[in-house]
Amino acid sequence: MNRAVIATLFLLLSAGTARAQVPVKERQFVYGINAFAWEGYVGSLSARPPHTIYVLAGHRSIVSARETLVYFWPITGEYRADWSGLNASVDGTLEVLQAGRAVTVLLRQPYVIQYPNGPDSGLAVLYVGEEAARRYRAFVEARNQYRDALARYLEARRRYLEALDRAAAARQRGVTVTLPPAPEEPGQFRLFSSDVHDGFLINLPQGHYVIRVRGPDGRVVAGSQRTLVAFTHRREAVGFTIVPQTRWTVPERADEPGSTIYARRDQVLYFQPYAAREYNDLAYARLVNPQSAEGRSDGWRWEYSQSLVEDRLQLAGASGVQTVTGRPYRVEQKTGEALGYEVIEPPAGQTSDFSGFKVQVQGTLNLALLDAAGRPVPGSERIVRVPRLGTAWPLGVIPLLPLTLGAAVVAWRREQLGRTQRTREA
Amino acid sequence: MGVVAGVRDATRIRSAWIISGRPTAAMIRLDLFSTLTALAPYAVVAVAAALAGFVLQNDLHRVQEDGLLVIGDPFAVSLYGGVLLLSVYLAASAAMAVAREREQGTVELLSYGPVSAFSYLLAKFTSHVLQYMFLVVLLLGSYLLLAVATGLHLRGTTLLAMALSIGPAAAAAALGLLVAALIRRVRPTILAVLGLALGTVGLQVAREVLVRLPAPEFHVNPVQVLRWAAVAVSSITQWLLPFGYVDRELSVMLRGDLAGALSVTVAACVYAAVVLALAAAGLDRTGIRR
Repeated sequence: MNRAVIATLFLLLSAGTARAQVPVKERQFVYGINAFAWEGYVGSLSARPPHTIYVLAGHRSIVSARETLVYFWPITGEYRADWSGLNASVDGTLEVLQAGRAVTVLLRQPYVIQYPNGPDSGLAVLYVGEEAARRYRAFVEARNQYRDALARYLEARRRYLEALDRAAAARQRGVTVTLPPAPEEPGQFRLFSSDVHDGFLINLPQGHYVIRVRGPDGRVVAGSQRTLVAFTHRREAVGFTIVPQTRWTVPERADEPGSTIYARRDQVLYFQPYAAREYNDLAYARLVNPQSAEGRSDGWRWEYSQSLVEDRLQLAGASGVQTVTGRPYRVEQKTGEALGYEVIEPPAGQTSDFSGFKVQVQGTLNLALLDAAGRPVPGSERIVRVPRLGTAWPLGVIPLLPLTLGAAVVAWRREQLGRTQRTREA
Repeated sequence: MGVVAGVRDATRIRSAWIISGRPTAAMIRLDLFSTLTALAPYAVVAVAAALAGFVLQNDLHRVQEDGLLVIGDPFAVSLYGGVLLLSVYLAASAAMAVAREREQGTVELLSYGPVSAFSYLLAKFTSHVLQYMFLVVLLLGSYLLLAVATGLHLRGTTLLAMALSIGPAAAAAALGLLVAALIRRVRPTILAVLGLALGTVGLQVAREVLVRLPAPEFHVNPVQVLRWAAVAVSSITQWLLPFGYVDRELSVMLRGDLAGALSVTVAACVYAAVVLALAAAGLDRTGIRR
């Protein structure tokens, strides 16, 4: 009997496990979102159950109405789309409402997102309408040209290597042969483009909205209503990523304009300035991923929008005022038994690992980024200080001072009381 | 006619001062003297300074080890801890003073003279606020010495935050008086004040931890429920209890928002006035006898 119960339980449990491996897919109306973010256009999904869509106010984002197969992926705790199973465009117009009143009605238009420096570079450009098709054609043409050039290069290289083999064989026979010139490799093809899709171009001022799709039959498409928040930054400043020479893999960020940078004396720091904007933590986390469970509604975060390493850095210290220009630097692993690495200026022809302003800390420094006209960029001022790193005993002694004062006051009071008592007794 | 009315008013004010103001001033002097000639307030400042020393030592260690430390205000954490500690001490001290005098029958004795419940509590409140001002100056001195010893910068906003923390501290003292007015015995009074303080701080910590835990917007899970409960309760307690004012005032001031910090200080002062009036009514209601 017991064995039968255990066997039944095992079967039931294993059946449950087997079911969990295959997610149940449901045909749903969804919004495919390509939201503008400073790290590039971020693709995400807004499925059922509906949640708020966040976009950056004053920047162009794309929302596409689609029908697809949606399933819950328990490993990440997110709803996902099986685009390869179904990816049908939903006809209609997008209504944007604010406080119950229609703000605008958007029509579908073709769009393409291109990354001129590669998909990981962050710099992304959105093309809409006829420009999208033209840009995509240009991308396909450039890609084909590169593919042909690469094929020609590989063929030339194959022939070149054969010629080298023949030359080596001839040299062994004692015949002098002139080597053919090596073929030149075509330049790297960095441009990356998405396919041409269609969607609604959203570029709204800051505020809370409701969006929904109205189909060609004049009715609102079921499940298409969402809350949309267009948010903007609270503050603007210049943020710095600071790379210490001794720990270049662990840079620190000094984004808050009021922050102070404490460093050891003789420490070499590399400052990388960026134009930075401060956003609500929750809104930005949901912008990047609307299903994100991260982010605090009462928290703020700085996002970098653009590198400012082309500007100059002004340093004002005890030795006077000097200006530093940004340079490229290369990190080289130290050879031999000594572990570590060193940061050097790259020799001609070698690539750099990062660019920044080199600052050797000798004492208190006031630094500020200078614009092209030589004026300090607002929000770029920082102070570098050298703390006292000597003995720690004063930190233990100072808290005893109030206690000593208290003990002295108590002793004085007791002495006063005693004197009064003695006077009374006398 | 107007001159006569003016003289009459002046006479009335003078007689009110003689009847009620002078005893109140005398009680303030006595109370201030007795609290400042005890060891406890100095010990609290010493603990706050030791906390600052520990935090700053940690910062220096990071600079020593990593070569770099970027920080908004090295004294921010110490200041928050220090002001909170002083506020809790102030509330407990005010509550204990009233509860003890009530238990000993001093309040009853005073009531036979020209001392009302309000003037009695006002004297306690004023002496404790003055005591706080003295302790803040002492703590500031410790911070200045620590800043000199470590080379870590004590910012102007920190000094302003310390000055404006008088508002939340006054609110804490008023709450202590209210608790003492409602509860007769010393031990329950102290336990109630400490419970309220620890409850507020614990709730704040729980809220901070819970909001950091990931919880999807569209799933109802235990984290979300707990987070909602913690946020809801703390959003009430941060206005009902004075220790929430400490957090708000310091976080706003350390961000450099002077107008926001001033408004929190004013709100805390209004809170103190209301709670003081409630405490007087409570003392009248519960009676002055042992």
